[in-house]
Amino acid sequence: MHTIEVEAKSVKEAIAIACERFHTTEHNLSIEIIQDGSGIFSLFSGKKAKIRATKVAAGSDNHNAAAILRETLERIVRCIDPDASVEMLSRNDGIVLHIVSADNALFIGKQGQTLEAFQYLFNKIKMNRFKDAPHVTIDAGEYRQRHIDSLISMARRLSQRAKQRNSAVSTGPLAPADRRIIHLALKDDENLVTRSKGDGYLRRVTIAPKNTSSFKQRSEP
Amino acid sequence: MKELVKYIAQALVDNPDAVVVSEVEGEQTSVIELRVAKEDLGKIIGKHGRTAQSIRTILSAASAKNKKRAVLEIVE
Repeated sequence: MHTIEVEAKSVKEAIAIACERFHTTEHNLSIEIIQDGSGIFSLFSGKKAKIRATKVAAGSDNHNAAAILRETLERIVRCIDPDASVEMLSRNDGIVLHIVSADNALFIGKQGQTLEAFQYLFNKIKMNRFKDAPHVTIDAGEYRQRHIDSLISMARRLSQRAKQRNSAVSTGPLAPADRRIIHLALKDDENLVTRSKGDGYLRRVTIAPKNTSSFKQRSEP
Repeated sequence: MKELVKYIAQALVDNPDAVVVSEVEGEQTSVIELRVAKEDLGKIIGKHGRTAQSIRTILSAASAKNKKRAVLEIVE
């Protein structure tokens, strides 16, 4: 393994030695401090700082990978609209690459089609080059949040209709992530049951009031 | 638009140097021909042609902006 232990007067010095041994910069090392040489106690005892350094393959470094992905997206986006740019935002579940342009519709496409194409390609590029990079979400004009909001309001509307009619109602065909949002939006309503029905691309969510036979009647072909 | 296809293709393949893009311009439509190394053909097309489809979707966004239709041909 590319791991070494280094002892020196201070942690800083130990890191410098580790960098030299690996012929790299601190940026590409993962450093674990085994013993901190600083502080009054260590001055008296003459204790040294000890670190364990592991070389991280260049490119699998998360920070680097995110920056490269941002640049890659910006270059592609500028081939379409020279005035567009890409902002990078960090979130706890990964990074968001936000395409900023005068014409958001251009990058979102019909029902988010274009954005989905970018998303798919970038997951491919990421897996090809930086396997350990954080999760990347591509967004334009806050489309992601708007889409979630519209799914939730649709879920509410359909659930009211299900209660009024006392029978099952169904959404249109939805992608897995979108179906999940519907299920989650209605999970706290104890009077309703939600089920995903159908196969492949035609899978949809059926919303039905609990304790009615209508759910079963409708679901059977 | 040539650069767009070239740049996306290079980001996807293992041999970026083998990516060749040529454009045959017509009056309304231009055909963009993409050639990659044989081993990389699968990477460009993807499962059920999904990668190729994504590149075409992005290309159609670009052609909407440039007001000129473009078709992507992946040449073996």
